[in-house]
Amino acid sequence: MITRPFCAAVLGTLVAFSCASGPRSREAAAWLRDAVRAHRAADEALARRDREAAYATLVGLVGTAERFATERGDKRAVLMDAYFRLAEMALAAKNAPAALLWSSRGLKLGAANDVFSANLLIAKGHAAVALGDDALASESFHRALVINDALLAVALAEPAQ
Amino acid sequence: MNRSDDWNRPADDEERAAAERLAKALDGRAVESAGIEAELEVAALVRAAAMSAELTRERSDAVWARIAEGDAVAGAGPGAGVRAVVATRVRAPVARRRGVHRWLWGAAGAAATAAVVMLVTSVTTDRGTKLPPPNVSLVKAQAQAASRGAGISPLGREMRVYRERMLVAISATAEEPR
Repeated sequence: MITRPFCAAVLGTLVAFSCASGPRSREAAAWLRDAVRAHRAADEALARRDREAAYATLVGLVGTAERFATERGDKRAVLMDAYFRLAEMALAAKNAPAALLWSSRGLKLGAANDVFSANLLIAKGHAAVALGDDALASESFHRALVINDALLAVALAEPAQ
Repeated sequence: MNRSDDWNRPADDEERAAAERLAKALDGRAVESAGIEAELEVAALVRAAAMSAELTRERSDAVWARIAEGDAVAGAGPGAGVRAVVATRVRAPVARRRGVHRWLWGAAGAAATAAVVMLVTSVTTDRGTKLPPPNVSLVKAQAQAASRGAGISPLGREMRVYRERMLVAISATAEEPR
């Protein structure tokens, strides 16, 4: 027999689903559009040699990430890449402490055998070299090369794009 | 207004004492000493008992059964009016509470079901978009950058190309209706 509590359970589940998927999906799309715009704005700023504007744009991107609900994996990829870019800019500006900070923040999102982790480890290694921390530099480069080896195997197995 | 008519007010000391007497009576003790004579007092007593947290459905049924048998009120035997009062005022609050409980259980069940479904959904689908694999030139730039003395700029340039592809892939997934 279908009871009222059962109906309430079904209704509640449907409401929870509708609340969970709609706004979340829209938020994710909005944040990703922001990410695309931020990278383009950073590219344009770098093209006119305005490093500070490029830097500020990407700092804004990572700063707003927490407010948006999106797929964890996607957010991680976009954020790790943004952190890499910030570290890269800091290195270009010869600001090794900032490069170390950005790369470390990116790696805190969870290192894995992917492009983003390897990039951040490389940036961290360069920051460590600039700071005279040989042990950290060696460790970072080594870890990056281990990931890079796995990526190369995949890239060689893939048909040319 | 008769105090027994206001069922939403808190029980006073007298009613609480009456409820205690009834509780003892229901436990099979001191039925005679309960001293319940007036219908009003019976109604007030029942009301106080109904308001007490201890009045479960079983207890309510026990109250009703004893009164119906005529032995719950020190042998005096409640009149028809009292029986009606007891029938509505013992059972109704319990029934209301049971109704509320049923809906609370329903709501709790809904929340729990939704939480479980969302958890399962997040575990199974929150891995993110399947990203395009890096091409050989990006991997080579990475390998070159991962050494002392090398520059990071070539890797940055290769990443610009890959970034475009990655963002397009992720955006396409995010725009898809779920």
